[in-house]
Amino acid sequence: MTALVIENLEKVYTDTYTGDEVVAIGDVSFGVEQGEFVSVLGPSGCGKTTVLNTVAGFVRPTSGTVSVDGREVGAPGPDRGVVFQGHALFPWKTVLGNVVFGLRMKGVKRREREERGREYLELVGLAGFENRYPHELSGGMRQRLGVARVLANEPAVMLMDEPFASIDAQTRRRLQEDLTRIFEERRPTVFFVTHDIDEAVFLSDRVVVLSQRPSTVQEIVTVDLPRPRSWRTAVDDPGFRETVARINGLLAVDADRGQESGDRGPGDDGGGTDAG
Amino acid sequence: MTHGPTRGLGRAARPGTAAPRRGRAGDRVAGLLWFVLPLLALVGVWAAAVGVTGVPKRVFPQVTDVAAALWDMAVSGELVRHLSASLYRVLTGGVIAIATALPFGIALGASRILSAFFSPLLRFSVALAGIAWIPIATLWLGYGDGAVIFIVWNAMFFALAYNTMLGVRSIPEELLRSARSLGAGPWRMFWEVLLPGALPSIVSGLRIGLGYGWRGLVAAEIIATSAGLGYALFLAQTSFSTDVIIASMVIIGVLWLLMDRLLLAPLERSTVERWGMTGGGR
Amino acid sequence: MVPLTGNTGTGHDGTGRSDGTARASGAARTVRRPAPLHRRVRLRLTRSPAFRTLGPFVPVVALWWALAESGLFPQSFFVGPDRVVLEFLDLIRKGVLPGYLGDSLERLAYGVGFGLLIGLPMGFLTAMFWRLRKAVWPILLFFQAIADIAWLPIVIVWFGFSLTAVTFVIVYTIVFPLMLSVVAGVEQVPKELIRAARSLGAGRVRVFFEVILPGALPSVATGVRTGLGYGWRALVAAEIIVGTSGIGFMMFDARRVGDVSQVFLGMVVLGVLWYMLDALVLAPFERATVERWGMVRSMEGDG
Repeated sequence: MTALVIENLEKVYTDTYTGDEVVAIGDVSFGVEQGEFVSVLGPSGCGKTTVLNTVAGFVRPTSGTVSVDGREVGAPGPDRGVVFQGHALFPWKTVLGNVVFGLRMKGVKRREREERGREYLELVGLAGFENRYPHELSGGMRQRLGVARVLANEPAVMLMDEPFASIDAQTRRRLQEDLTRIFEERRPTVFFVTHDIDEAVFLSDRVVVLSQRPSTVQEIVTVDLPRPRSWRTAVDDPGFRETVARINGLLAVDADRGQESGDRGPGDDGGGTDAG
Repeated sequence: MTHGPTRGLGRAARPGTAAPRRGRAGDRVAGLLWFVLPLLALVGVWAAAVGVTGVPKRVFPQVTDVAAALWDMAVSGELVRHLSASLYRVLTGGVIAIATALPFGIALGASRILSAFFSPLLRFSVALAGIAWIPIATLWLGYGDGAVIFIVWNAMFFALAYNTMLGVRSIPEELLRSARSLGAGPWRMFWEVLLPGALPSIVSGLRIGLGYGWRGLVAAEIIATSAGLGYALFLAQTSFSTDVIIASMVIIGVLWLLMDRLLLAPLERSTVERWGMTGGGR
Repeated sequence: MVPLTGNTGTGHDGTGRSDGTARASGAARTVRRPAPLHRRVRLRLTRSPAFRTLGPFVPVVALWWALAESGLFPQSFFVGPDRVVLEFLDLIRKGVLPGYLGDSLERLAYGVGFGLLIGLPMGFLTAMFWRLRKAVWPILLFFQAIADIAWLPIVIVWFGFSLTAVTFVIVYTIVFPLMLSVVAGVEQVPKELIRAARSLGAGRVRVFFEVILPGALPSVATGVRTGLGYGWRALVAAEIIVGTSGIGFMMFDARRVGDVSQVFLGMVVLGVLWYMLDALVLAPFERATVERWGMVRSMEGDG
């Protein structure tokens, strides 16, 4: 069953400085199956975060529809949990308080929600940190908490907006492996936005490659990498390297074609990919 | 990582004027309208309320009474006399405060030991500054200009010195080191690094200090002089002339807004905001 | 995660953190040499908060005393701390000071209480509805611009020389800075936090109570501090001008009869009182919330 369907999404907004109309998303359509991990990849400023924000309901599309479990969505809701690049943890709540937030909104009884909260903290490796405050955690731990907070709410889709972009390379690798493990264990539906090709290929079942702005779906690449996955085996896997090379090629061609076509992407740094 | 404030009040404080779109005349007019219309509406409500309830002038004057009082003050020269007395005092006190507090604050901020030592003293003094000094100031300097200027200076000095010190302390160590390694001597450090680096904090200190100074001015004028807006207020109160009281209050308010708009806001815009640094406080 | 920079010199509370000793032992041989006693005592002393806040006052009071004793200024203008202490004891014995202090604090409490009661809800209302804010903002700025003290004459006309008049001015002086801070605080709440709460299933009301209210707290705390600072001044001014009792009245009355030591005493009392208010009420509140949560407090201007 298809968990998330995006059809003919278009987003045009007015630039606040010049008053010009900017087409952020040209025409984007694709679907995410239940229990599937799909990454959206594209050059910086191509509007991939806008796609995610539209799915989350933070941004209204100019035209097109987004539906989750067959229902069209508008406003943000608990069926689409978001993991933010900047963590967006509530500084005034403890680790446990953050994890159970969604359950509390649902009206789950205290005892049950704390039990479930602890279970998910255990899952992401944060057991024993229940009573800490977010500012006492390292960057990697904060993002684990961000993931646990969404998973505990059991959304239909988990939306992840470049969650590891601001984390150092070593820790990022470990977080990626942990995310894969959790995914393989629980099989949530994941919609993952990134500009890191290796990351997208390593994590995903399919990778949606977007073009330069105004973004359209350039190609959807299926990743044939056996699960369970780990970096140690992946880097030597010819299939992995081939897929990475292929996507690299796609983006390079696109970059040549659309040079200078618009580089003011909100929230995207042009950091590009590392490792390789 | 910390979800701290990223924007200072200085910038956030003026959403009505739709700041960033520069050079668009329509927007500026709209911004001005959005500033003037609510105030006009307030005046309308005032006129209607007094008209409908018919409160005696002794309690609350009608808009026209206040306008007439303003006109009388302007024609008789009283307005100019009081205005110039007040402005002279606030400017003199302010200039002396800036000239003394900035070097003092920067000197303190440049040394960890000095700032640790003076921090509690300054906090104590800020809490006391201004009005609480009126009795002693009038005792030392007698009733008159001297005491009022002293109060304005005093009210501004501590807040300004304290904020300047905090501002210098908040300059990243890296910036100081890089300036030093680029060969800046002490004099250069002062003008090119410490002063501009502390500026966001200095501007907010100036705002706070001027606020205290303005209040101190009015209070000191009520108590200790025979000219100035505060004195005009006080004189009107003894004869229950509510129209003159309200007129003086309006002048005080307008004057403050003008000072804020014409002195502080441009200073902030041309430095702190231009450099993309965030201002703090108000 | 384990903080690497512990207490490097004192060796007082570093009582064998068991984890990481093996790792640190190599470094410990070079770094952890017990400090000589005098240095340990000095470090102990300079690190205690009480010493750090009160210590600087010792030389200042000594300087004040020396200045008074030197006879540089006439006794009728400037008195030393000894005279102020004597005056203090005398006024306590007569019961004047406790009475006036009680009056001042009662006025402040009324003013602050009503000020918070009015300012906080109005601030949040203004902040939450942008249309309202747009309409109200210039009026807010204008009323904030009319210095609170300037209201005193008209308030005296309305209410006479009474507690109501003083309270009105204090309330007035607190409400506007508080409202402005609340609006700024609400604007400072990161948009992502609101989005996170919404996508975790929080409705508008819950977003307000769970995210916006605590998120605005640093700025609100600053606003309360600023408001109290203004209210404090307004109280003193009102007592000087309206003048029937209170510390401000005491000071000005003493000035009229030329009793300098009482004026000095009044200033010291005002300063100490503000310090205590800060140390016993404001600072603990901020430690329990903003600092505990690791949020940056917006820049503060006064004590």
